[in-house]
Amino acid sequence: MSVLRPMDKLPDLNRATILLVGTEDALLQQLAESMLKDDCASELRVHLANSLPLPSDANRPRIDLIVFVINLHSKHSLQKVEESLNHVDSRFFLGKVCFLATGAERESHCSIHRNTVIKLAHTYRSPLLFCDLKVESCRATMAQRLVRMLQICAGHVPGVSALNLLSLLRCSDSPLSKES
Amino acid sequence: SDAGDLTRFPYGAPTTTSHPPIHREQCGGLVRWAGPEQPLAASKAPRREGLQTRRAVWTGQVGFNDARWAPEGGERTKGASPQSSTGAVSRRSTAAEPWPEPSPPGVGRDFTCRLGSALRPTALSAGRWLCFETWARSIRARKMDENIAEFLRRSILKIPLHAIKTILKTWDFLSEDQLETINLRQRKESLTQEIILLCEGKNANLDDMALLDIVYTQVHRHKKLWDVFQMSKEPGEDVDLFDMKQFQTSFKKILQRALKNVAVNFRVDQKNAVWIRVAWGTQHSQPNQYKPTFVVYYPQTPYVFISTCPLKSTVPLLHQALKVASKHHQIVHLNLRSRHLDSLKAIVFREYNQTFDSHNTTVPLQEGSFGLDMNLDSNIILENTEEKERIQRVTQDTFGAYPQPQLEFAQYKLETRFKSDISGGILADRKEPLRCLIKFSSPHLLEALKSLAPAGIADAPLSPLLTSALRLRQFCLCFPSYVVAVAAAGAGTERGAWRPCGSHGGHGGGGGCVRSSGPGCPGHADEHAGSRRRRLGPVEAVGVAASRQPTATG
Repeated sequence: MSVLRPMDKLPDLNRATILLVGTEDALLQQLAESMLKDDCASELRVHLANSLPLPSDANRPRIDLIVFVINLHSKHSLQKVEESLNHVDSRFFLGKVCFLATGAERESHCSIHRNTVIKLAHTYRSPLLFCDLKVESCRATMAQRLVRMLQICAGHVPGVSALNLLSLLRCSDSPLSKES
Repeated sequence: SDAGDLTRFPYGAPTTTSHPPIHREQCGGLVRWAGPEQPLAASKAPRREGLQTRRAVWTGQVGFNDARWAPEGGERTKGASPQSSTGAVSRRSTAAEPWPEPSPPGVGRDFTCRLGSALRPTALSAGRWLCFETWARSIRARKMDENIAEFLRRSILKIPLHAIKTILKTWDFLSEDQLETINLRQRKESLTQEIILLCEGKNANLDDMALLDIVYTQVHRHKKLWDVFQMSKEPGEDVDLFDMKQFQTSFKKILQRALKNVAVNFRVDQKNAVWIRVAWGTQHSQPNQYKPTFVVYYPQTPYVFISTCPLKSTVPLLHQALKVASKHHQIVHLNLRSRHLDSLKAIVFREYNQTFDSHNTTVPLQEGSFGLDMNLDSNIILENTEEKERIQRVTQDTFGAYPQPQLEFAQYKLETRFKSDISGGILADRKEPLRCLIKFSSPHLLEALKSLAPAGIADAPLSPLLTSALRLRQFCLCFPSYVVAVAAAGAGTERGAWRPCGSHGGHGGGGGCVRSSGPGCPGHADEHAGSRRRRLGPVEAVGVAASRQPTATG
């Protein structure tokens, strides 16, 4: 299955699965561990991948949220993410995809400009979050946020759907959002 | 008669206050320490019965072991030439050591000893005899002693305390029990003095000192910067059998024929490598022992490692001597220079030692090999494990399973053309290629390159530009003299933003991992040229630029 589709599998009871896509395994793993640290009503699963397409695996549960992790210090990570986006079905972009940019705090090391990722996120109509994944506190905060988003995308939060969340997350004063 | 008169000895009483008879077994002769009005003839040196002169005589040994001598002891060799008879008094124990002769009495000079100017007017008028071994020999020995002792002193002061015992043992000049007697807990200066005494007792000469220097350098190789040279024969010549003795004599002869004053010393270590130390002098001056050149030659290979020497004019002669002595025709500088001699050896000799096993292709995922903790939470599932294994395999094939030799700089010269979607730009129309200098620096460059793919920073297999670093000829580990500014900021990408000059992530516009200063930072151009040890950020995967011809410095 080369393209990830959001609805091609049945959901498991009380299970929420998130897929983190990024080139730097160390960052992904630390984020995954932070996410699993807190107690959560849902049963969480975190899948880590360097790029899409994923190898075929029939046992993989339905993926509720994809987070693309881009390291602003490395153009390689942006390139890989852009290639991976081709393997995601368009229905995922109704609130089930999120971009996470890390490394913005060290401007001197950034080889990707912030505007690049902002435009990328805008192209795909998905929220963009900035975080410093190397700092423990930022990572923990971001992990909590992602867990909350994941629960919503998996449908575990009554009254809020992924699409609702998407429109809520769209920042009103961003100049890019006015075009939509 | 003046034995009890301690006012004559402001620096402390002599250790033996009695007047023993002349210690025949210790002293070979007597010299009268006299003022200018009483020049002594050298022939008076042999032993004399009785010490009667017109003047009062005192025999005995003056103890110079007093700590108050410390300042003079340290300056013993400063300005202490045979001409000035000052300061030639050394600190010695009164144990059976021959006394140095303070002045050559045969010359009739005034002996102004530091022992006391206070002593001079009154005491010297009485005449003093000093007791010692064969003083003629000690004159010569003392002449050498000053230079040797100073050299020895400086050599030992260089050695860190924890290494002194091992270095002295390797030097193998002092005997075992002498080594035992050395007290390592004292201050460095006193330890140095003790060792100097022991060595002088054994009549150390310059060759022994040079050997100590070689041993020190062998242990502390990183103190020198080593260049690698390769020698070659004419094609079609036979391989001669190497004879160590013949090589050494030939080398020494060539140097001595050309330059009268060179000091050449050899030491062969266990791996059959010969360490040569050459101290250079000129036609008129003695060899300068403090700026020697070290050469490490492995006789079975055509490679020579030479330490960089501040005396540049000696280099051609050294090369000539090496070539002729080892029966080669040509010597060529490989662009390799480093402080880590073992790393240079590993790089250079890799062509001879195929150590890694290419049959072992299935490498299991090792813990920590990707920087991952394999004890993952069971709720974390890794996709792409096959991909990771492939990367690990490719990395291992490229770099090998052994630890990489330690390199700190790598520099490439690159000629490339500007590639841009915007036609008609100034740079795109440029006829000559852009010449770039790319410099990588890292505390351990090859390990950093090796970990790029597993860490996810670059694709595996790595770009040949990076892996070519492993091949010998394309290396240039030199300090850069400049960095060419490549205006790649606006290189056909949608990013119009000017990169601040501090960001050296590279733009990939002109090609390769170019360390560039963008066009908008003129104020910092000098700073870039001057900076030599910048910690590199993550190296990026090299995109292939059009018509890139990497030309390495040959």
